Amino acid sequence: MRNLVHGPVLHTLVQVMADCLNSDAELMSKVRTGDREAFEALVTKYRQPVLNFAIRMLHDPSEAEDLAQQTFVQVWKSAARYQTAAKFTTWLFSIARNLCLNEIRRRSRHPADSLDASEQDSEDAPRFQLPDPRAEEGSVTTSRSELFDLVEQAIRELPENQRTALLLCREEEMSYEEIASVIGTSLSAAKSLIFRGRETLKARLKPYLKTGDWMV
Amino acid sequence: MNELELKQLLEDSWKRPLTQSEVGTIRDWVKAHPARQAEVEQELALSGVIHRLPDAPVSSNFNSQVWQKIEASDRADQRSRSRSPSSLESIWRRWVPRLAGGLAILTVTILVLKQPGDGSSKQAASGLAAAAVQAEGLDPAMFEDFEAIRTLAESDTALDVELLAALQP
Repeated sequence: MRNLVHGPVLHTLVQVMADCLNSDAELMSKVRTGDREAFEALVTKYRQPVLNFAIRMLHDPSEAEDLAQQTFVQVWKSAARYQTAAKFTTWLFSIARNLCLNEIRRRSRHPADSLDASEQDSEDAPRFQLPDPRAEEGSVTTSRSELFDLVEQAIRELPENQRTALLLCREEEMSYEEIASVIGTSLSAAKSLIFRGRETLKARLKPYLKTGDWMV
Repeated sequence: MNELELKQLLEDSWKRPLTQSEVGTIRDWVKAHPARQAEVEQELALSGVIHRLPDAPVSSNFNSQVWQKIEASDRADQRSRSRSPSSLESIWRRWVPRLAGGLAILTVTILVLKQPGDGSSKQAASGLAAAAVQAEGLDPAMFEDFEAIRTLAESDTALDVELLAALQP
C-alpha cells in the first residue's frame, strides 16, 4: 500500500531534485564564464534558505544578512573551483557554514563585540523575533507565535553541529548525505545529530507540542 | 503499515511536510496502537512546527548588495595586487635586508676579533720607531772600543773582588 501511495510522490520528488541539480549545475557552469544573469538566478533562488540558516546560526539579523551576502560573494569568486559533479546546495551551505563558524569563533575571541547578544541571552526573551506571517489570525496564532519564539530559542541553544544538521534538514533539497557532507561527518553520524537535536527540542518543548495542532 | 514503515514516514517528516494521505496513514496506525499515540504525535508536532518556522525577511536590495560586495572585493584585490611586489622584487626585498644584516654582523665580529692583534703590532711598531730614533742619535765612534769593553765584561769577577778586598784598610 505504501509503495502505491509513495511511488508517484517519490518519483516526482526525485524528478524535481534531478531537475534542480541539473539547473543549478547549468547555472553554475554559466557563472564560471562570468554570466551575471545566471548568478542572479542562483542568488534569488537560494538567498532565503541561506539567510534563514545564517540568522538561526548567528542570532543577529544584520550580521546574518551580511554573512548571507558574503556567501554569494564567495560563490561568485570561487566559481572556478566548483565541480559540477558536486551538488550546488552542498557547496553553497558548506560556504555558509564555514562563514558562520568563522564569525562564531571571531565573537568568542572578541566577546565585547557580542556583548548585546550575551546580555540578551541572559534574558528569557529570544534575541531576535522573526515576523510571524500568521500574526493576524487571532488568539490561537498568538500562542503559535510564542511557540515559534520558544522553538527558535531551543534551536539556538543546541550544540552547533546539531543545530546545523537540524537546520539543513529543514531544506527539502538537502539529502542526509549532503547534510553529512556539509558537516563533514558520516551519514549515520549526521542522522544521529539530527535525532539528538530533535530529542532535545522535544524534551524542552514537550508542554507546547501536546495540542496535536501541528500534526499536518 | 508496519513499524519500519512508520519509522520511515516519521523520518520523512524531518525533511518535508507530510502529505494529507501520509498523515492519514499515521493516524490510522495510531488508532490501532494507542500506547504509542503521544510519542508519534509529539514527533509529528515537532516536525510541523520546525517546517512552519517563519522565513527571515530578505531586504529588497539583497542582490544589489551582493554585487556591491563583489565589486568592493574586486577593488580590494586589485589594490593588494598592485601593492604586492613581483616575485623577483619580493625575493630582493626579502633577502637584501637579511644579507646586509649578516654582513654587518660579520664585519663587527672580524673587527672585534682583530682588535688585540692590531694593538700588539702597533706597540711593536712604535718600539721599533723609538729604537730607530735612538740609534740615529748615537755616535759611531762610541763603538770603536766596543771589543775592549766587551772583553772587560767577560773578565773574571773573582779577581776584582780580591783586589777590592786588598785595597780596603
